[in-house]
Amino acid sequence: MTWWSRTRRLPLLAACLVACWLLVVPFADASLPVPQLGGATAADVPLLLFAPLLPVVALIVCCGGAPAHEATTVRRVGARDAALAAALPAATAVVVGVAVLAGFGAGDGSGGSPLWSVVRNLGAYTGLALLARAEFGHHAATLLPTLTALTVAVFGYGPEQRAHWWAWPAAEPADPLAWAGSAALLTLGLARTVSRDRPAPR
Amino acid sequence: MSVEFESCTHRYRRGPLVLDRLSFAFPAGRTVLLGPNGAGKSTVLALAASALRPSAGSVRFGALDPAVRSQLRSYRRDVGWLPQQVTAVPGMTCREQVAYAGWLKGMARGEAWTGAVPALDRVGLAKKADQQASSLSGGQLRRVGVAQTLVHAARLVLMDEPTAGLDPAQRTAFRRTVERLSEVADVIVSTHQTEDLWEVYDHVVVLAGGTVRFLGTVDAFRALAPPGAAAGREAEAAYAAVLGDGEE
Amino acid sequence: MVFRLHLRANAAFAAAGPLLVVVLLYVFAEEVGGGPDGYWVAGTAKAVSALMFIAPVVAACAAWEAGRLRRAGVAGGAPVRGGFRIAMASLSPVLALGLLALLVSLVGVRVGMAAAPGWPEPTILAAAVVTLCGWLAVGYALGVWLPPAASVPLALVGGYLWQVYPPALEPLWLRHLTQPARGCCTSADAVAAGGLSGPALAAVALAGTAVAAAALSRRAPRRGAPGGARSVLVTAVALLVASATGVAAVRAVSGLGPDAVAARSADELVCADAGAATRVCVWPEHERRLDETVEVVRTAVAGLAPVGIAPPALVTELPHQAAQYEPAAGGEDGAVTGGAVTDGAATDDSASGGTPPSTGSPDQWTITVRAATSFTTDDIRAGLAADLAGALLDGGSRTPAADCPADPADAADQGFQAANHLFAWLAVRAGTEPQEARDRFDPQLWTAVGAALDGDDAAQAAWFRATLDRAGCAPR
Repeated sequence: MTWWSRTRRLPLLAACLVACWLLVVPFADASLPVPQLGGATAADVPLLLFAPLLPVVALIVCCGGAPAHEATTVRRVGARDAALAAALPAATAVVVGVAVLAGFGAGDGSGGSPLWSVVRNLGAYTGLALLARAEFGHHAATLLPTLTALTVAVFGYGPEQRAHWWAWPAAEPADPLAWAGSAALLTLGLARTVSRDRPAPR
Repeated sequence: MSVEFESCTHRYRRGPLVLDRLSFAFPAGRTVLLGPNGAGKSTVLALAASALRPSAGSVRFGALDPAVRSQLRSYRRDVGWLPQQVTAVPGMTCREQVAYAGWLKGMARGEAWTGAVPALDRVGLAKKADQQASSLSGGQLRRVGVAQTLVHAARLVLMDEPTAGLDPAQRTAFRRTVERLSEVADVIVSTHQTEDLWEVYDHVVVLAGGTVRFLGTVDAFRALAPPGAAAGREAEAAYAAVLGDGEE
Repeated sequence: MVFRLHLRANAAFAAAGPLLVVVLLYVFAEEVGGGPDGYWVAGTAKAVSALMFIAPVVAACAAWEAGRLRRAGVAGGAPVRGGFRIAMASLSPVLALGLLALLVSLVGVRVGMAAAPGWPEPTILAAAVVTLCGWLAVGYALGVWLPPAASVPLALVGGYLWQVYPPALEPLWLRHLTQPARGCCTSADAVAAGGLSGPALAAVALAGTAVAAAALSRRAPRRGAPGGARSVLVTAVALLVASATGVAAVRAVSGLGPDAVAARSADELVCADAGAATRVCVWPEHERRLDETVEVVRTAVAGLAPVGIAPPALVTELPHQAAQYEPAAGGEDGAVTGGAVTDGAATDDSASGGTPPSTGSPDQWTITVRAATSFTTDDIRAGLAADLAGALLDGGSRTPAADCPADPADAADQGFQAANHLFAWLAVRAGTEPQEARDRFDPQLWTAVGAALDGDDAAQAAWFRATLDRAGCAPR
């Protein structure tokens, strides 16, 4: 294991990622009936809305122990960090693909397996956390994805329990806008992370 | 050749102006950076280390400008930096932590691993090389930080309060380290400890309110001390004279 | 030296705005249950149900503040003050935020109430404050043990799910451990004692566990050394308290159903006489409409007595659960258990030939009153007619219906149609203007009812008895 990976506490991160997979793959259809203030009386908020927060929180916590002199590194530490962050949704996509082929998370057949939502949401939350870390610092980084998940859970459902257009994490698994928005967030977050080892303006 | 600031302005986000169009060049050799708390010493060193980017103006080390993308790697390879806060990476030994710093500065993995031992030896921590860095005392951790700046062949070494928390014996050892280091690199040390200025440094820079109040040789600085200054207290007296009343 | 709190630096300061907005949105959301209709117990219960948002935010702010103390290295500074005082210096603004949010929720609920005699229910509020304190302690313990990047999301999401998820779980009493007065109350309900003591004790158990966890941490600020005798003692006592209160909490709620309610005491009713034999009682929050209700009852009694429906002894908002018809042996009229319902003096009156024979009319009618002005006198009258129709039909169901169609579907159809006729007829006899009734009811229905209303009292009494019999064809 490289020194860089030691500073990122990869075993802990991997354990949290695997825990997320173990949570979502067998229980892809599980949902929580939650009161709604967004137009629906109550909505069955899927587990897939909250579960991806676990590896995202782990990512931020595990990357938080990096020493200060990384700010003057010659190595592309930022690119490695970005690759690590991108690996979370990428590895989850592989696991979900295998799980779907194995018959897990079949869904109702209308819009693909709900398991794919976890990949999309993990990407969106990872992007949000990376952007928040760049903007507000490491300690507050996880607040943005957490508040996003809670906001979607409380306000994200309209009449007939359909997700509002902006509530990407609650959208149907095949919703193109939700995928595009999540991919954009992830891309922006990764871009900020890649340039993390450049001289900071503050 | 040393680091040069040109019309350098810096402001932390939502904070006050720390440096206002600062233009000066650190002299070559061993330089001590003095100044009251909040004077901008750590900001100057972080800018010189390319950890920060100035809000306006530029920083150069010889021909290298860290704002130029193609020159950043060379700049950073040439400049070593000991930040004010040295943190122990959980799960890493002292040797690994120092070797990691060398690797970050572009050394090959094996080279960094080998070079970590003499670097630790120079700060008196060779015997603790395989001990967890998180188990060290504050002063020992500071010495690991110094070793991190020594592990690679930097041409300019910046140290932000390296002697804070060191015992007298270690401060003496640190003086020897700086003397040896200055044979191969320029050294800039920010500190509040003035009792050993004459023995260690060639030049003094006094920073206050984001501007340079004094830049000159140690002898010129000593000459600023009032004639009646107590023996051994000349540096303090000179420092007070530079700052004037109320600055300290 | 006076210790001053830097409020602007506290997490509660940043969280206050969003939290208060969410609380107000919640309180005024149409989707969140009905209005408490002037009943402060229901109003207070609705206000504290906003704990589902307040408690997680309080826990998250506490976790953040504990993280600030961690980063500041306060535990390593050999403080002179005790751990509790140090923690409270940071947490008191957070607790104040929680209390402010509760107050805002209460004010929001009050604004939505047309009238609200009395005061918020202090026992519910006390249980809510204890719950808040429990979450404050939990957040602090999380912040002591975990970095803010983990403790704050855990407190937010964990706290929220703790509040909203148990209602989806079995056994039903589980939900009452998380929030005081859950499911409380309609006008006829009072809050069950277990619905208050249970969540309060559960919160104490949470707080005890949190205190034990914090006392075990090296990073928690304290006067003594970590692991010292004092820490061990605090941990032991906290765990003991947590165990005892946890068990007590489960025992307190284990008898509860889906809602933490008990029957409201009839002693609270405010009464007035509506004629010589009839007394009208309403809940105190509807006292302002008592005279209006008395007038409605007086009109109804006057209109219904000539067709054989005896004046009740009591017209009340108290639910009519005690009134149970028992089939009279060998007869078609109901007998009464509990003294709440009677066929009264029907036999005597019939024998004397004064009024048409009574039809098992209940001795107690129920009535529905609302404090809101949008609930009109006609609504009170319609409610009276509907309740009376229901009571009569419940009584009549024990009567073997004659001439019901053999086909059960046809029998049900005939029965429901007759019940609708009965309701419309009762409404008009009780005082609803015929023109208004014509507008309200289906024209086909009104044709039959209007024809019946054109007859004299004796004919209407006969129509009423026949219709009641036909209504008995429907399964009840």
